[in-house]
Amino acid sequence: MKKRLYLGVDVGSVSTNLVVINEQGDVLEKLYLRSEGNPIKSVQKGLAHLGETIAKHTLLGVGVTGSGRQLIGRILGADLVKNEITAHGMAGLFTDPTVKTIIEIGGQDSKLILVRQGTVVDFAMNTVCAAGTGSFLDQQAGRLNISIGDFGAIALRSKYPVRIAGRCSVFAESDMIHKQQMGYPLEDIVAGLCEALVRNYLNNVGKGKEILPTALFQGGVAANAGIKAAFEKELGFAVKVPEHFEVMGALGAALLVRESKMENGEETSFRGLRLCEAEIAIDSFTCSDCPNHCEVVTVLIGQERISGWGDRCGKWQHLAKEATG
Amino acid sequence: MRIGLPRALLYYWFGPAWKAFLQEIRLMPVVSRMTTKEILKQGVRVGVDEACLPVKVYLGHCLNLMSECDLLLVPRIVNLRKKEFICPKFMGLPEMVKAAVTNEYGPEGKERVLVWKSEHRSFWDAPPALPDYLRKLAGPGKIKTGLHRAKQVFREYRALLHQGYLPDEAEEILAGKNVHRREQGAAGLGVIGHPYCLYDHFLNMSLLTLLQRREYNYAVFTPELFSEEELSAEVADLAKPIFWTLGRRMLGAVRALRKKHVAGIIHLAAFACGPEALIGELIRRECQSYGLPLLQINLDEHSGEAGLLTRIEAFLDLINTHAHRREGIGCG
Repeated sequence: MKKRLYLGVDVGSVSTNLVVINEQGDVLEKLYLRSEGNPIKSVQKGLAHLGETIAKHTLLGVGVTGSGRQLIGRILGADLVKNEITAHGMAGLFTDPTVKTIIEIGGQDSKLILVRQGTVVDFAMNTVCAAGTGSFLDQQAGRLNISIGDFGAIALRSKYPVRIAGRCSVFAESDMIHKQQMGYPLEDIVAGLCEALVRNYLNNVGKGKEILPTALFQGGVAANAGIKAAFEKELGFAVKVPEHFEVMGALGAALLVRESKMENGEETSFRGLRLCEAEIAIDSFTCSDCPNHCEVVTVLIGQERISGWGDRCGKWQHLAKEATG
Repeated sequence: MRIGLPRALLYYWFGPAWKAFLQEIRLMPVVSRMTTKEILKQGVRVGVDEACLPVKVYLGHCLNLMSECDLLLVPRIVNLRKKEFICPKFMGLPEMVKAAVTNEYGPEGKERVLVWKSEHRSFWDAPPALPDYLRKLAGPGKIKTGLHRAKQVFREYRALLHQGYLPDEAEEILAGKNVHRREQGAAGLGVIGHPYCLYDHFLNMSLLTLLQRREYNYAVFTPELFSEEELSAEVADLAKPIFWTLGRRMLGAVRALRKKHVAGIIHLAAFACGPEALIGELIRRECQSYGLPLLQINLDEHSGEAGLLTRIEAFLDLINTHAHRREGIGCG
């Protein structure tokens, strides 16, 4: 029997994630791919992976979220383009209806979403600083010459984590080198880094927010048991890592498009699996028609110019519409 | 003689009146164009580190105007109201401008900066505050009629803002142009902040227009919609009066907006603004006590549109859900 499916895509700075759910919201397939600076390629790769499932069954809708949602949304012909906060909130609430706090730490973003009585009531995002995100850990793991995959396990071995200045990744490095020279064992330094990240997150993103259990920890960094432990130590209660923690944004986008399709019943505007092989090119330039100097981006699928954006005046968005009729 | 007026900081408060004054005394006002990336870049380059973003924008406008005018009119504003203050950076503004233009144009640049000192008592009626130079240029007796005209235009301008026109719309109306009233959405949304954060479309990435676009369709209310009396009355019961005029207006606006049943409030603050850091906390507590959704955004020169849009979209989703809840539709 043909299943009725929804696709969710989360285009982040570090990873591109795809999730296929059925009408009940169960996750049938999930993919976590490194974006490697080319989210379009990653999405094409992901689609090719899921091609068989999608071709066999009926795809009813596509939802896109993440920092690259506008670009990918237009390329895919998505039915719904949503911000990451709403998407993560949706996925968290669906996974655990009792949730009060969602901690999401990704590659360059970290978010805190507060939920009360089943609705998002407040949220915060990191600003220009990436010291409380996955990239910070990646960088420090590189300096310590250990794999990011081992990071959590090493941290858990520590009995006496050292205190490392986590306010800024530049200062963290000098502090860490100093601790190495003082002869502290590796696991204590690694655990110290985990605590530094958590401290930074709570001081920065969590400033003035009431963090209550049940707390869900999602995003790629939730794979790191050391960070989870550091959160639990700092907050004083257990933090839950949901089964699909690494693809919660994509799951949220899929759930949101499912909700909207169930309401409006419209057909999907998805461009189809032909996108896997299509030649997709981006053309960007600085428009110098006025002193705003907008960075305008347009996308070509094959010969077809599908859209332009980035302009404050709307001229290029308009042109693209004309070009595609 | 062309006199440059930078379209930044309290231009959004006094602009049309300054313009009218200059016109009345037969000088040609040259107002800089809306902030652009180029203007911001120039301002950031010449501004001292400690200056807040809006001051840097002001400096950018000054440099941009230098080639288009003979003299630059820079106000030294001490306060806007009795027993109140605005940020001391407004007092030091002429010195910052002089330093910036000296860097770019040498010592002669500094000579082209005209300082107009004004206080709440003497905006429109104290000739001594005006530079002698200007008085000589205008001729005998002219200054008085000029200031009289300015006062008149100022009142008209503020009245238009109370009616809900944005500063650029009000300016067009004063210039005799026809401005269509924007269609306002059903649900109200409060957007508060210092005028130069709210009405500088470049700095806030056209937030006000964005919120009124069809897909969001909000009626946007800013502090300028309320009269000075209304706003002061709202905060009259505070244990200690707020002496920052712009801050007091913002907190007053939060209370007045609540009575207008807005769905939520967006607070736009500028990076490195001192008074804002204090008022922001008061606003946060105030909104929390009412259960009124609040989004606080800090604008800086590194701001990307992506981060701003994500926050705005998520915030609008949040208040939509709240509104549905109140109507008992239930959602999420």
